[in-house]
Amino acid sequence: MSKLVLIVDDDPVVLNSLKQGLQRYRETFSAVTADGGKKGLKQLRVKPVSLVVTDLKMPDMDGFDLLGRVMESYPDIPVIIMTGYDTPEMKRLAKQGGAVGYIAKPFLVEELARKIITVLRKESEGGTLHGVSSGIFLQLIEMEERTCTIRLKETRRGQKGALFFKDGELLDARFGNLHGVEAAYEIFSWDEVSISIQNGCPGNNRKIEEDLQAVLLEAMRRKDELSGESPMSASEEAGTDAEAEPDFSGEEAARWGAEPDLRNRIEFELGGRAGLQEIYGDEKWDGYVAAFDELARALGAGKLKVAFVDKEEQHCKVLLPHVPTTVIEVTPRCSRDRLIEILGRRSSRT
Amino acid sequence: MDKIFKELLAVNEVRGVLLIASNGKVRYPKSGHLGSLLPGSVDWPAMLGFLAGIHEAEFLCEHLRIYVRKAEDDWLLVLMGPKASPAMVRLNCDILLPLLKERNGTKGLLRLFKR
Repeated sequence: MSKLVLIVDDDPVVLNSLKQGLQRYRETFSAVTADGGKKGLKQLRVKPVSLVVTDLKMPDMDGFDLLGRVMESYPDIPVIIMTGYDTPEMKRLAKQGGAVGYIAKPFLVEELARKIITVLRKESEGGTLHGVSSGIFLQLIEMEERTCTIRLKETRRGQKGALFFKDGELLDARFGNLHGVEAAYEIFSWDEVSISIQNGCPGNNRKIEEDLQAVLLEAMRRKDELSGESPMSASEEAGTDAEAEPDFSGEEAARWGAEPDLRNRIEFELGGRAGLQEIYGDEKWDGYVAAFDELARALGAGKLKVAFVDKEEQHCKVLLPHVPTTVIEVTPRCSRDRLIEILGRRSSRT
Repeated sequence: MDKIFKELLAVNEVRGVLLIASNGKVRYPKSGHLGSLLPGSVDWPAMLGFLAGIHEAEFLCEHLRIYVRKAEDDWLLVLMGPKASPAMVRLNCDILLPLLKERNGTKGLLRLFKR
């Protein structure tokens, strides 16, 4: 899905040029513009912006001021600074202020696009989980003392929020214009969420004093008050999850390679990032696999081990060259490189 | 075309790039000498039939990895060594695809003015 990038510059010529130039990248991101810092902040309040690109020298609110406001109110949104006054000091100040990127004018639109795409891709590097309950997952973050930013999207209504962890402690949360513990209560009340993790936590200001367990329990209590259901404690949920984890040591590991174990193995290695849907044999793909194998050999790549196919449908397909072809359906946001690597390793062993 | 593919070809472990037109003609590289790439030995029209409807594909093979990406009416194939970063290759393809689309059109507003 295309992400939204907010471009802020007081020069209408630059804004128009960028908007037009960046349209070529609309499959990856869409650009919205604001001709000043204050208007940029207004856009941030109403639009689900994933990245801000701002000029520095603007009359109503300069880029550093805007950067500071974004860091304060939307610390999960990365900022790239662009300026015609390129000095080492300017660069240092931008970095110090929390900017993730810096680009000196004049520049080619492609250069900016490259920076934008790089930052947007980095956002997802930590991985994505879909359709999970946030409670269990967040307790793992706490246990592992992770420093990270977690973005959550509520599955049914599509609401988005962010949580900020430093050394496993929940520092802050954001949901729309809500911040701190109130935002956390709202986010923790969501049943089914997609979660993406980014390493690192912008800012050090602690806005949530309560510990994670207390916030989770209070969120559940509030939710139950609204629904009238009996609460299930976070610890009970965690216990159930721990028992469900398969053991892949010893004999289980030796069985690796048998088809029924494929699902367990993938889920064990990738967890929620597997995006695994279905595994089945389908002879309709035999011809495709034979053709891909022929292509691979003709190009000197050797025998085909794993093929990943994205037809821009609901699910992507991973094909393993058997007769009939083993088809593994995964969601487009699965940890693709890792999945291919795991299946490639498996293919070498069987 | 060399300029468009320059950065992709500079990515670590990228071994070669092929651009195949929808009629099966090899659009890039144009020279006959392709080193280990032997596009002449591939029945491209037949192969493109199997790639029809695919937006992108990746083939992990014994020796190399092949990334396939639909580029408007053409097909872009990138051959990578085992240690290549597929994410970096995909990123570079994201960046160069709009340039490929524009290659035969007007240049547009590519440059910005100094403030």
